[in-house]
Amino acid sequence: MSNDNIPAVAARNLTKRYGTSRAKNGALAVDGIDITVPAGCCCGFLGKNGAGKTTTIKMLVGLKKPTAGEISIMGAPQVFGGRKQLPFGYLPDVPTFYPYMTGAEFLTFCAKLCGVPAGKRPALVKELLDRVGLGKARGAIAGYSRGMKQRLGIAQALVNDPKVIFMDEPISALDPIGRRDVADIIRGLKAGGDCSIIFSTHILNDVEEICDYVLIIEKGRIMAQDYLTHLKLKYRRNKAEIRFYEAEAAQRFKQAAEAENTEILLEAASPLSFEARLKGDTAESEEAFVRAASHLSRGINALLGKHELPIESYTAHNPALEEIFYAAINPTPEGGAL
Amino acid sequence: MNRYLVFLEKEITENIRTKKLLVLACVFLFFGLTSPLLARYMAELFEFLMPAAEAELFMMFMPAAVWPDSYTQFYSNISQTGAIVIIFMFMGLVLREKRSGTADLVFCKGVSPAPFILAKFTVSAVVSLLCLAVAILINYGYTVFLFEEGGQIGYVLAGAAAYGVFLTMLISWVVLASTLAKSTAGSAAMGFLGFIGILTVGALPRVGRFLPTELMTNNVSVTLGNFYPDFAAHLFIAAGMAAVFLGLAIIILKKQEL
Repeated sequence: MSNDNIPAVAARNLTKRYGTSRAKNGALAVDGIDITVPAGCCCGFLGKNGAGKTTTIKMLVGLKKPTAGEISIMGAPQVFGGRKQLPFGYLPDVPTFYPYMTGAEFLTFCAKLCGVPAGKRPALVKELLDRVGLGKARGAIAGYSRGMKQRLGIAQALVNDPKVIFMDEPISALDPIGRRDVADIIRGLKAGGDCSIIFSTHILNDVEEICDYVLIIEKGRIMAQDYLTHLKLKYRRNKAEIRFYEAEAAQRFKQAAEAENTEILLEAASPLSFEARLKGDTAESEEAFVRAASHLSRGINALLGKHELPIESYTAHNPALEEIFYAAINPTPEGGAL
Repeated sequence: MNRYLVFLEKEITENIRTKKLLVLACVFLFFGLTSPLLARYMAELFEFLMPAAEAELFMMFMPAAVWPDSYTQFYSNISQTGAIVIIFMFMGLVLREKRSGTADLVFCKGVSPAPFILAKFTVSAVVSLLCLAVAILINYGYTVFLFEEGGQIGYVLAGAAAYGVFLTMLISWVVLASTLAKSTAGSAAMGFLGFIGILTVGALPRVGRFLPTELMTNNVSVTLGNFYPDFAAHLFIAAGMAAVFLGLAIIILKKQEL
């Protein structure tokens, strides 16, 4: 297998049960999940509070012992209690440091633990502090703000030049400025393309803005995992929004559709707009979807052309991550949603 | 750089910057300075504090102060208080790092628990022994100053070394308690119960001689050059107990989830 095909993170049947009794409420924190995160991507690990994100990440980085399952990071097996240094960095949800050290001293300490040669340490520490915007920070860590600690946490996760970085809720608890700063750092890491990033959050916007791959976990089970673009295709629905300049044109269009094209269903979204879809459309295959989408747009175009009704926009449905998330954690019996 | 040395450096920095070293030094120095004074002027102190009639009676039965009183005073002051201070100072050694999350950052870097635990133990023991050494030397110097005699320095150091070995064993127990416990109160309780257990069992006839309790309770006789029969055996037993406690702490930490 070439390096290109090795996933950044792979887990099979990963299970974590607290306590020994199956009957114990909430005992099964992670329920036999399979994860494959391709190398080089920025993966958003989504889930509600208590869904199992932190437990999963702690198992992936070797801090919690899985009840069952196997984990590999860049192809190397992750074993609980094993002390082989794997190529990853980890930022806990609330990073805590030795408060009497300065940021530079803490990074130097980490660099020594990671075996960075003495001659390279000062330059590495300076580069990392500059990278996370702490180059000018002075004084002991005890005086750092929460955002500064989060940035220092990212810097320490980068000390060993990792191929994968795990971040547990790196943005969720920060104020707007702190959120923007940390999000910018993550974007910078992503743009660098040197490593894969996996960060957990329950804030969907963060993932939609930053990530290209998504894992969705609910009650300890993975409900969806794929590239965001693939998920958007999977969860899109054959519907479109038609927006008019004038309410009168919108009304005329509705009357024409009801009278002349009984296949199109219109639902008023506002006096100027409709959501349009085909009656009885359950197309699930890609081919059927394209055929139906084409049929819908042709039908609408024909009506608009025939009655010479100008429109402001025609927008095919493109699901937001929020819709995907809710659909994934509340699957319908048919496997569809929305 | 060897990870043990990295942790050693970090622990030394922590002891200095968090003032742990200063606090411990102050406690030990206090006893080193005050014990000879108390021993030398105990009679005068009582005379000053008691009513005249009672003081006169007291002085009739009070023997004149001699230099060994200085060491009796030192060890009676420091033996239990020093141990209690050690338990309080070091009860959070491992626990605090686990609870705060600093241990997460360390152990996800592929670090073994052995250098982590051993560095904490080494620095705590060395700091305590240094403070004890300075305290006993001050006690010796002050005793010579006040009594014009202070005993043989070799025996004086041997008496302190015996107590130092006991403290070192106690620190290893506190490290184990701090690794096992899930709360500061739990760690403190385990530390104290262990200490009281060693004292209690050590005082029992027959069984007691298998515990190194006398290293803490029989220092004055060692200072006077009277080594009790089990002295050497107790040194080995204390070292063995420390090795077992530290080994257990390492094994337990390796199996613990963070």
